[in-house]
Amino acid sequence: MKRQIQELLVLQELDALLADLGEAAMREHEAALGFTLGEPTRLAVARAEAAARIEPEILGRYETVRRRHPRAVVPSIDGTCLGCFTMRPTAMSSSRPGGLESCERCGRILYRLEEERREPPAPPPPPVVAPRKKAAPKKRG
Amino acid sequence: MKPSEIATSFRLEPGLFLSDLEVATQEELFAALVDALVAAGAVLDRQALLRLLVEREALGTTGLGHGVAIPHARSMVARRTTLVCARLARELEFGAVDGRPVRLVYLVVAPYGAGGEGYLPLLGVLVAALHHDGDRERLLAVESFADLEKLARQLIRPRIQEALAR
Ligand SMILES: [Zn+2]
Repeated sequence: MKRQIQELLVLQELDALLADLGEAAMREHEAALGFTLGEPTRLAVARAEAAARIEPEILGRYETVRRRHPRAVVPSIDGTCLGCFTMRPTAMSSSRPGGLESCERCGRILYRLEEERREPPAPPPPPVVAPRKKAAPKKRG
Repeated sequence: MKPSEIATSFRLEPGLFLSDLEVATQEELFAALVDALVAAGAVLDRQALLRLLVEREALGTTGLGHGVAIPHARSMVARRTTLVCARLARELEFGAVDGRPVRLVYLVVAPYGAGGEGYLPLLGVLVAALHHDGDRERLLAVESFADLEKLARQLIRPRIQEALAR
């Protein structure tokens, strides 16, 4: 699932850039600074390729959320969606359409930030009373 | 923070100056710059920003001449307005407006919305400095993080303040 989130984040960046290019103000800013922007032909291809790497159900979910929230994929920290910035983690019980976590309040697709930040969990401690077993003799023949 | 402080606030730290960077392609350059941003905790996802920068560059060169490139992007995975500077070990072809290869790179990334207020002012001041004879020399002279800090303190931040006061 992490891989799908990864692809969604790429797709989201490309979509944001495409949206920017559609805004006259952005193009004017760039032009005023001396940057010439060409047609986004290659960008559209890159966008299509990125979308093709995402499972249809997940892509559909992304497209649906994006209609309401241009930033459809957001991090969550300790269960708090950073898209709608609720301070009440208990209200944020997440659902998992398509196997991805979503915020129940705003619907955005979530990826957990703490997973990247923290060390992987330590292996479980050995049992307190370890049953002593003799290794089973190897079967021969 | 006051609006003027928000607009002049951008992240600067030693890991965000790369000296004698060995890269053979633009993609290698962007990868190194993004790695520095990730290490500084300034972005949430390496691959997303890298793809964005590569595709943005493909739309039109950010090589503005005089051996300097100023790549820039707002990003969904950026956490705050951040400046990364790299001095390249070897000149890199950039399709620059004056045809000269690039030796010095100033990358500006910023989030959309909160935290990204300083993006346009910072970008504007860097570009203006590059086109101003005296300022350009100061921009080109940056060879260490200490130089970059000095440039930020003596030129970039005051110019942003001036621009805002107009
Ligand atoms: Zn939410």
